[in-house]
Amino acid sequence: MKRTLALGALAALLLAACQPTQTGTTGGTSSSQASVIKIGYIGPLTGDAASFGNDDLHGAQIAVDEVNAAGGINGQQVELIAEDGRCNGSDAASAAQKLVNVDHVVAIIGGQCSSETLAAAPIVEAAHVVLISPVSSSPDVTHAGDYVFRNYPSDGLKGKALGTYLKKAAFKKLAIISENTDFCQGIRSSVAKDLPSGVTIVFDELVDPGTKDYRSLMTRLRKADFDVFLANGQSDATDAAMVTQLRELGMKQQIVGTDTADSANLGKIATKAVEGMKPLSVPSLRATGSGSTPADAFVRTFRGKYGEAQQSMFFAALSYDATSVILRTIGQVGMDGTKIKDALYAMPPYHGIAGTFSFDSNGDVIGIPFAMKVFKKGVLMQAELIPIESSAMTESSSSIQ
Amino acid sequence: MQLLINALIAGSLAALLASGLSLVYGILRVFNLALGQTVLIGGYVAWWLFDGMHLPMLVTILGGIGAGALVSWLTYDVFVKPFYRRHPHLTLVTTIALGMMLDALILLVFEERPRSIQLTWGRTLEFGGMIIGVPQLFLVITTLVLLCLFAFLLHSTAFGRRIRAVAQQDTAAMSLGVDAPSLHRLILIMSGVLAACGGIFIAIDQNLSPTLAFPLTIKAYAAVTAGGMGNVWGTILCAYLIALLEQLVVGVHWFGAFYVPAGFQATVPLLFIIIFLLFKPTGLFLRASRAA
Amino acid sequence: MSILSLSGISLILNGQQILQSVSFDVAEGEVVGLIGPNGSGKTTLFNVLSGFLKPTGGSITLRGKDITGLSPARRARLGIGRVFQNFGIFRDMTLEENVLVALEALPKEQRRSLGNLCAVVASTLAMVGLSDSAKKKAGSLSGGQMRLLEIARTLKSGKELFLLDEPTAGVSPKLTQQVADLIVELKREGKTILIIEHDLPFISRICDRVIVLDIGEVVLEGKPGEVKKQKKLQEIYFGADPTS
Repeated sequence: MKRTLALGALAALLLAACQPTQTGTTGGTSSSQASVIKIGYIGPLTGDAASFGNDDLHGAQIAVDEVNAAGGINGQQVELIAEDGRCNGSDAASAAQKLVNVDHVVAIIGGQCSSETLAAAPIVEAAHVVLISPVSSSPDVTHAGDYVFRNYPSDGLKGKALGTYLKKAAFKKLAIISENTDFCQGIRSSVAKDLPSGVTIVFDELVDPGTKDYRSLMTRLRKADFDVFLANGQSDATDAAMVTQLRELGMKQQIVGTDTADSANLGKIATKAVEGMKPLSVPSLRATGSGSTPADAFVRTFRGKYGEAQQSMFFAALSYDATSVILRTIGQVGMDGTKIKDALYAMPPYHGIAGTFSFDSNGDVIGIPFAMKVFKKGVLMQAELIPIESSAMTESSSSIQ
Repeated sequence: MQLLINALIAGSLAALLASGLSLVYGILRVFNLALGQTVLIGGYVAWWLFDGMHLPMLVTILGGIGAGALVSWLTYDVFVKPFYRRHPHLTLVTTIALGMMLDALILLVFEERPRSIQLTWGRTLEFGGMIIGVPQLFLVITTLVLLCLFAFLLHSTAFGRRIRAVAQQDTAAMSLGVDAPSLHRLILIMSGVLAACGGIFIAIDQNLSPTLAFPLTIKAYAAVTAGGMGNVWGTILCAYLIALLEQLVVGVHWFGAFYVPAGFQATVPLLFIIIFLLFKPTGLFLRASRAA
Repeated sequence: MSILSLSGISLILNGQQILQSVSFDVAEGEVVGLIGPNGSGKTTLFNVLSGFLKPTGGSITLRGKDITGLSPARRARLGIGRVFQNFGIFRDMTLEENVLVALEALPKEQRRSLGNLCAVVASTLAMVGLSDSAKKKAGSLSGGQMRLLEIARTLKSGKELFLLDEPTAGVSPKLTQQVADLIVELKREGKTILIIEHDLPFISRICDRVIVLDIGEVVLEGKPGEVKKQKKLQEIYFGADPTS
């Protein structure tokens, strides 16, 4: 009897261990088919960031399904192989190794977290496999490699966008609390670099990833003289803890956030505290699912298959666009990585569902703007668009190309 | 002063989790590494009843507690009982396995996104320059009441006498007619109930996310270790002490000269414990180490 | 009528034969001494009798009821009381609590028949002269006092069959006599006693019968006077002076 129990436990454990990979390998077609085109996906499928990791996977899967339904690429079906990058470098690196060396994928969609993309970059660079990250925003991704693209604006530009906002709103004293991750550090240094004259950072603290107890920091912050607070967390879970505990201590200052606060869920888990908070992010998807635009069609398909997006339908749309661009390019130039890369650099503005975009000489996106949003009664509203220049244009000609 | 309040809030949560754990270790010599998951399931079930089923708060809390009790019951009968008599360390493996299964279950049922219970009476109180949210005040007081109940149960009831007897000399207790195995089950369930209360605490005070489980387990064990393995009162005291240290580390303007960077909030108190244990390996509260 | 009956009890632990078809009966009210050199299996036999070890073969009956498969707690509730060689006392609990735990663990009807438990606790402590220390932690007692407390507790919680494992070990000479008197008192009250003891004169004085165990087997059995005369007893103790 005891032995059966133990065996049962073991079997259940194996099942549990297999669980993420099972959801991961959502092949569009059976892999037994000889001439299938394999595309890799890297993103956080488990962990705190898994909400948008899964949204993005679903977006990419819809793009693949559509191509397959239309007969594939030159008659060949496409298979999407998903790996869990767990929002960290080491898991993403082994995921990239597996996709490149075992599965021999033609291109990779991902990573989603910047740590993932940065870790996968040297591997795809060496193997001459093109990688497009739909949502990585770390400034470091700009120079991560020739084969590394992204259709999400760099945080290197976010400092400037935030600066524009601060100046316009006449804020003078900025307080920041950042989680110690690649993404949050990227934002932090970008904000510091592009701070407009007249604005000073009066409080700047870095906390361990996953911190939920900010009470003593907030007690200190309360004594500081500041007029605007930037909640720079890696996920909406930490953003929620930060703003709740800030408001709890009676501070009434304006709060701004980053892409992680651009989360419908944040309005649900911290409804009162986020009232009036302004996340600086990318625009929302201008589609309700009821219209006749391609974006509306996408939203309908997404909801039909996967329900409501866990974090952001816009992220899913970016992932859908990235995947569609790759598949279209493969159809045009074939499966050679170098040819795909060159075609992407030369690509004329592509009319995606998230916006019309192309890539600059660093593989950074041109055409996707920033947007300031605002929480009203727990619901996100789009407040204003903040257009941006491309990273290549703002830099001196010293950039390697 | 505000730091004291902050410590009281953080410490109450840690004390809830660690006290049951300490009891389990003190009596069964078993490490329950699935504790964090038990906490989450208690919290998530409460969230679901509150947010999904729109049930009154009291029912939600009872539901969460019931879920925690159920999980720990399962923990005992399937993952602890068949193994711990052979070697207590076997349960390290089995409870980790359980933890992983529960992780997968949580992801499957409650999804990755964070969840929280939003109370409507989320006002704050201010007295003498100290600020505390009404829900937080409620949590701190409830925890203290629970711990007092726990103390009463342990020290002034036949059930508590039995628990302490088994903790100190289980063979003697059994040969007096105390049914130790079923008592062990009850103790594990009790720790599950406390864990679920902790989960509901998190859902109200912060938010629940699936990755929280392991860090919670680690934190609880820090208090258990510092408090003198298996010494319940030492553990509870240490839970509050660690919380106070954490708040002091980042909250105090040290020597009027500098603030410790917030990134060291969790490390400094743990370092303190390590250094302390170097000099006194039996923990802060050695004297009654087997008092249960 | 025999209260306890062992037939063919054997035990193999980690591939080693610890007990080998041990069989004997104990009559109601009888006092049986269990002697033998260290490692002969006496304490192990007690552990089998109180249920901490499951025998590999054979059966145990208590008043004709087979108890071989019962847990220690069930056996205790059926009236088997055990006094441990290394003190079965809860050191961090008060003397009162030590007695109270034993009383509260009794089956319901039996507990009710005792009436006011506090009165029973008081009389138990009075019986061994420890009333003054009622609120003290048991850990503060001397070895002899712990033993007295343990025996008194076992007696007052209505046990019928006593397993006494070296009751005078670790007891100061001053208190040894008091412990011995208490055991004689048990005997006078008609309790059945199995006792492990090295003190042979003490054994001869109070036991009706002596069973000698060696390497897990019963090698001699009989009245104390007869057993003492047997050469074999000397051989088993390997020349050690058995009367010391």
